[in-house]
Order: sequence, then structure tokens, then C-alpha cells
Amino acid sequence: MANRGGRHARNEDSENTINYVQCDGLAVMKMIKHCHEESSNMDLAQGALLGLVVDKCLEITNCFPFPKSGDETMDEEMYQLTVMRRLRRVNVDHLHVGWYQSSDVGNSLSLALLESQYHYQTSIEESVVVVYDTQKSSRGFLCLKAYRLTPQAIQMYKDGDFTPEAFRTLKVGYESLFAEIPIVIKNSPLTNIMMSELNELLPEDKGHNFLDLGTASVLENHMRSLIERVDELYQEAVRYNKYQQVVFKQDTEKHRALAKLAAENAVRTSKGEPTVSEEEVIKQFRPLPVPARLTATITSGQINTHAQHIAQFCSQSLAKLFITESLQNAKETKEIK
Amino acid sequence: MSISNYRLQTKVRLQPLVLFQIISAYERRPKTAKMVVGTLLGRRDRCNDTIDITNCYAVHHKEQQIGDMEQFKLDTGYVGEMFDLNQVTYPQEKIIGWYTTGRTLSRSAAALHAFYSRECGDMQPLHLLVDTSLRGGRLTTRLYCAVTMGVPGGTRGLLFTHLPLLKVSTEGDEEVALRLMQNQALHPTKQLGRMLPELVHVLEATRELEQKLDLVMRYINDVLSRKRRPDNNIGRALHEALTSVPMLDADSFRTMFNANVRNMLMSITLASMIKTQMELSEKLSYLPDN
Repeated sequence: MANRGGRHARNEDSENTINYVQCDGLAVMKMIKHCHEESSNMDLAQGALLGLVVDKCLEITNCFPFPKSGDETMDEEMYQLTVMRRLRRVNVDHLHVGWYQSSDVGNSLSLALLESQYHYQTSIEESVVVVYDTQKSSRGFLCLKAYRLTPQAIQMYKDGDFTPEAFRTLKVGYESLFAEIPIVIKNSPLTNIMMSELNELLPEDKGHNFLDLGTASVLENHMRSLIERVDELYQEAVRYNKYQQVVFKQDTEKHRALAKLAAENAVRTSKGEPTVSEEEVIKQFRPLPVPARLTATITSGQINTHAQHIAQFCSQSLAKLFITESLQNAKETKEIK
Repeated sequence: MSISNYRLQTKVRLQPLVLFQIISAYERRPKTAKMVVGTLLGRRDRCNDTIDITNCYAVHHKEQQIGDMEQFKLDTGYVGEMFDLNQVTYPQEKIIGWYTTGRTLSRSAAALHAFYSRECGDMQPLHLLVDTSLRGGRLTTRLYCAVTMGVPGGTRGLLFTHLPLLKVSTEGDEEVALRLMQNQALHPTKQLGRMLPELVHVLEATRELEQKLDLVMRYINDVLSRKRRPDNNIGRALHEALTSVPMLDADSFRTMFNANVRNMLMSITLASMIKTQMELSEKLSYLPDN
């Protein structure tokens, strides 16, 4: 019965899945502008995505930034509603389909992100969170990723139960918390015409800074974040080990008490007195709370993304190094001649 | 309202985002409207005498023909409200003008100018005209500034003079997005612009570089075999490009190269090792406690 119910639930979910996200150039440019203005203030930039759902594709046609949380003069909900109402007047899609956030060296996977995305996805079924990496883009690679919570993650969050058993039964690991959805940037033909006009106005020599050979600082930053995450994971592991030790100790004590009770009971029956039940002894040993595995899972997810970033970064800098090697060889042969 | 607000040395820079927004507003205009009107936002730098147009938003308007007169209604309250909302997130952007789409300046330009000069305060408003009818096969974007002319004390009018619109300014990272979108625009038959891993970008760049080198080689060969007349400027530019590559002696280059390659390979090994370890620990945690 449970299996059939599970399969049915999965069928329902697959109808609501999004296969890819299609972003308008306008939304991308606005996101980039906002994230960059905020990155100079070392703040997280956040904003809402507007668009619509077409078949298996989520189209994002516009976006607007959220005001910084330090400003108390305007209520956030009121701000959102007013902006959406105003945009509706000029025929902009007003369906709220997700939110975006800027991130720094891939530190995006956090508890706050999980919670917000959970709230979004329960209210709006198809919402996504788009993460824009400012550091990577300043090095010349546009990094825009869309994530959604997997159904198992939603289930687990709904139960509010983060014990290892829950993780095991729902088969949630750090890889299955978020599902990444490919983003496609699409522009209308008129925009393409505008882009060709822009092409003439843009200076030709810019836009190639991803061929930059300077790798040390970037690698150092990545490594530093990676080390911090590994430290956090280690703390979690230590905590879990301590818990296990305490449980073990408690177990041994319980066994000892039960054995003592059994001996006592034997003595008493020989004397003809009523036996003491075992329940009272067991009640003395209350079960200990199991530490939550959520932070550990999130940290492992972050470590995973860091490792992936590093691998990608190193592979492309290796390619660049070999290009310079060939250039150097050419120069050397010229010298020899 | 003097013309000395805009001297000829004033540089006006336009950010691509503004054009994106204008085109998007034009595509979403109501069926009855033939053009779109909106407000331009930006910054004015008095010391460098530059004006940056950084943002814009569309404003609802209505055109009506009543008898002989043409009436033009702009939703002025909306202008104020959107500006206030924008101030919350971008406090340094002020209203510096307005834009319309169309072939030429519309008749209502004078009225709009009057309204926006009230909004702009002490500055003259700029007017950006985007020709979306693609006259002449191009999407011309022109910048205008209004100057009062006429007989002092008599009839006065406004003359809209054309200002030079300097090259579009971008901050470094918008260029990345722009280049990606440009590639996708130029090759529409290829797959839609997906975010590809970094290595693919480097590969494509090397291919482009190869093509450019081929072009240069062909030119040089042609000049050498006297098929083309040599141009001194090109020769000088080539010489500059070739000598700008730093000359390292073989040994120091070898050491630097080997060190970097070793660093990269080690990082890749460590990264994959970390990933394997994470996977293993996940599998282990699935085992029952006992």
C-alpha cells in the first residue's frame, strides 16, 4: 500500500517538474547589475523573479531587487506588492516564480537558502532559486545556476525531522537536497538586433579576461573556503561521535541495572516477596536526543560544490598554461634560429 | 534653464541595460499604443562632467486625437511612485530624462520636456530616442537635449539638438553576459545559449584566436608576395602586439610552468579525493546503526 502511494506521489510530482529555465537577457542583466552593486558593499543581493511557466520550461522575463534589510522604513511585503502592481501596469509578467541571490565563491548552500526555498516551493510549486556567482563572473565566466528542492527534501522539511533515521528512510543525501536545473538565455529578435548594434559600440579588447593566467589568488580563496567547510564537518562528526559514546555508556548502565534487578528479583522470589518490575528501572534511563544531521548534510553539499569548482577551474587553467607553453616554444625556436 | 548645462565636452554614457529595458517595454506595449515613453535614471558626475544613464522604467501613457488636437496623457503619479520604489534599492540614481521609441521626435516632446524638467530639478532633461521601426536597417539610438530658441520677448520654442552619445559603458561582468548573448544571437541555429563549463569557453576562445591568427598570416603573406599594399599602421600594430609578449628565458619559464602545472594537477587530485570521500561517508551513514 505504501509503495503504491509512493509511486502515485512521484507521478504527481513529475508533472510539476521543470526541465529547464529560460531566462530573458533583460532579467540576466538586471540581476548582474544588482549583484554587482551589492558586492561592493559585501552584502547579499536578493530579489524576486517574475515570469511564467510554459510546459516544462520556466520562463523568467523580469526581476526586481529586494531592498536591503537594514532599512526599516518600508515593509518588505508591501514593497513587493507595490512593485508588482506597478509593473503590471506596463504589461510585465507579474507572476512571482522564484527568487535570486548572489553568492561569493560558491558559499550559497546554506540553511537560510534551504528554508526560503522551502517556503517558496510550498506556496508556488514551480519556483526556483537562481544563484549568481559574482567572483566567478568577474574572472570572466558567467555563472548562473538554478536550483530546486527535490521532493524528498521537501518531505523531510515538512516533517521537521532531521534525525539520521529520517535521512535514511527518505534516502536524502547531500546530493539529493537540491536539484540543479539548466538555464538557457534566450532573447527576442529585436533584442538580438539591438545586440548587434551594441557590438559596434562596445570596445573590442574587453571581454577576454577569462584568458587571464593569474590563478593563485582564486585557488587560494577556494581552498580557504574548502578548509573552513571541512573544519565544520569535522565538528559535526565529533559531535556525533560524542553522542554515540554517551548512548553506549547509557546502554551499558542500563544492562547493569537490569542485571542487578534480575538478581534482586531472584533473591526476592526465594524469600517469597513480590518482584520489582523492570519498567521502573528502564524509566530512569531516558532516551537521549539524536543530534540533527541537517547542518552536516548542508556542509557536505558545500564541500562537494567547492571541490567541483576547483576541479573545473584547474582544468581550464591547465589548458591556458599549455597555450602559453606553445607560445614560449615558438619564441624559443625563433631565438635559436 | 540655460544651455550651459551641456557643454560639448560633456560625456554621456549609456549602459546596455537601458536598451534592454526599452526594447522589452516596446515589445510589451498595449495594442493601441504605437510608441513607448519612459523615464531615464542615472548619475551625474560634476567633477568629471560625465552623465551615466544606468536605468529606466516605462510609464503608461495615452494618446488621443480629439478633433484637430492631439492629446497626450502621461501617468504622472506613476512616474513618482516608481522613482520612489527605485530609490529604495538604488539611492544614487536620479531622474535625468526620458525616452521614447519612434522614428522622429513626437509632437508631444515639448510637453514631456516641460514635465521632466520639473522632475529633474536644476538639470536639463535628456531625451533618448530609439528607432524601433528599424529605418535604414539599423536600430538608431539618438540623444537629444532641448534648447530654447526664438525671439526674446516674442515667440519662443524648443529646439532639440543632437548630442553625441558616447560609447556604451559596461562594468566588467556585464560584458561576459553580453558576449554570451551575442554568440547566441549570431548563431541562432545552434543550441540555445546554455551555461557551459569553463573549459569549453577556453576552447572556443582558442579556436577564435586561431582564426584571427590565420587572418593575420594571410594578410602578411599577401603583403610579402606583393598582392596587397602594405599599410604602415597595421605593421606597427602587429609589431606592438608581437613585442608585448614578455620574454622569459627558457629556464625560468620551465620552472614556473612546471610549478603551476603541478599545483593544478594536485588540486584536481585532492578535489576528486574529497568528492570520493564524501560519497563514501554518505553510503556509510545509510548503513543501520548496529
